Amino acid sequence: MKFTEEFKNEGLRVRLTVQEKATLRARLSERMALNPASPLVQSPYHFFIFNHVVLQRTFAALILFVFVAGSGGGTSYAAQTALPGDLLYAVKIHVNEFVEIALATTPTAKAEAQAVLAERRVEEAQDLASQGKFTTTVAEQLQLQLDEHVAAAQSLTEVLEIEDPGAAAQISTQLASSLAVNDAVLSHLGEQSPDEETKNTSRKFAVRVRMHATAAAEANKPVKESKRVVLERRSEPVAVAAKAAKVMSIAATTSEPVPQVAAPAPDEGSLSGQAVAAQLKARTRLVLGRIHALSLKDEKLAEYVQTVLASTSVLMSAGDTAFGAADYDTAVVQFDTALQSAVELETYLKAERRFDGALPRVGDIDLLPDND
Amino acid sequence: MVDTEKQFTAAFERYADELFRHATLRLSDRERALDLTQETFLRAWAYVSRGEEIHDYRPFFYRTLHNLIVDEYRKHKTTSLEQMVESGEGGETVESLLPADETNALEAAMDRFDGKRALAALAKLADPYREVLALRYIEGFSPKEIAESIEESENVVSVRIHRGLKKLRTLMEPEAQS
Repeated sequence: MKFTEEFKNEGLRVRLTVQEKATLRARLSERMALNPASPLVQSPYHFFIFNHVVLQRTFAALILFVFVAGSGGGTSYAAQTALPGDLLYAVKIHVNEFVEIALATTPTAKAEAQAVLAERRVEEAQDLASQGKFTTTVAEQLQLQLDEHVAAAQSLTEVLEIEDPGAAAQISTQLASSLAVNDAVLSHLGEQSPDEETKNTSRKFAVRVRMHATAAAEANKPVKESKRVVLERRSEPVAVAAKAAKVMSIAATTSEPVPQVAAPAPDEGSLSGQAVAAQLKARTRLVLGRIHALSLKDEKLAEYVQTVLASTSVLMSAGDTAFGAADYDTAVVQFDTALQSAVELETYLKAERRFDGALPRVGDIDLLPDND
Repeated sequence: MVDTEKQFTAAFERYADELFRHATLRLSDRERALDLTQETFLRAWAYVSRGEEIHDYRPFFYRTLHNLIVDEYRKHKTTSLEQMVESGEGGETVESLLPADETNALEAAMDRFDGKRALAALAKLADPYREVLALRYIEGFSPKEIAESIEESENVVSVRIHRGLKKLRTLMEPEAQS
């Protein structure tokens, strides 16, 4: 509807300036510092005792001690599969994941940890959707958490890009690919649910996940940069040939020595390109290794896996060839595409395992998103 | 940071813009809109920090903002608001029995109007109509969500949207047939 679209677009133009928002934010922070939340405020998951910061830290330190001592914590292991609404969910978030984040000391580990937590929130949404328990309230909470983890992963990767673009690239690709598949899985589970609320909530949540997946891919600067170089270079041979032809024609009409067509300047980013390519390859091999280790009962599925693995291995060889020829940008693109394939496949297989029977058989519907 | 504070801050980041936008469209005064938006968050925080739970931030914020806006109008004693609220939704008129699909026809008829002009015309409507039209067409609330946010029945909301559109159309095309 043209009117409603225009009307909406015009309306959406009204917004806070950056300054105004900053002022609002500052006033709010001030007030929140002056009147902090009472420590006995119930956590949304009704395990209020864990909101008490001191107790939380003590408990976490205890768990950490047990963790390090190697005897394993019974409670925290059981909590790992808890879902929003379960009593142990608060332990999962405030203890287990607290520890996970605390154990991540390097910038890479930190970014990785946030990406993992984002994926975990989506998996929880899937579990809830398959059980028909995905209420609007829970979805709101999960979405806030998801947004937070994605934002954290993104800002950490941005910083990481400067020092270690390879690490940043593989985290971004991993996140974008796994979210894309998980979004499709969630949509499907939601559609299958007999519960109306679950249906609607799943759909909305999946849209959000898809948005994050696209954003993560967009933010993957090292890979985008290589893609750009490769694309530019494709138009270069024509330019180089034209220049050469011009030089030849000049030489034909004069007796001056033929000027050499300058060789293209060595790529400034070739060192980092090399590192990025190497890391993307390493990660792909890691993921492929995990896939190989899975034993698949379903023959059709096993066949499908073989097909994807075959095409992935073609991409890997192409990457190797380019790498060997010091064409690091092409290598990056090839290895990145291979990594995307591998992660998409692994994510699908993991979901298949958890929702055995609920997901469409491979070959019935194409669950995996297209590679751009 | 305590969990509650984190969540509230995240909710602020998420909804501040749209609440401000909504306040501006309702009041046609950017300064006041900014003040009321701030007040909305401060009040919401007061609620949360004394131990109350907010299950769904969005309608809670809109409800708080709505109450502040109504107070704002009362302060300035704009008679049109009182008039509209009293006479508009009071009795059962033939109009109030109109089905929702008439609204779609209205929307379609408005297709030839310029969205920018429509927004300017919105400012001339009385507040109850501005509210539902802004929530429906700009923020994308469903009639059910609007009902929840402004604490009216869905029926009242549908009728108000319908009437609001009609009035908007009248404003934009003085020679329109009724």
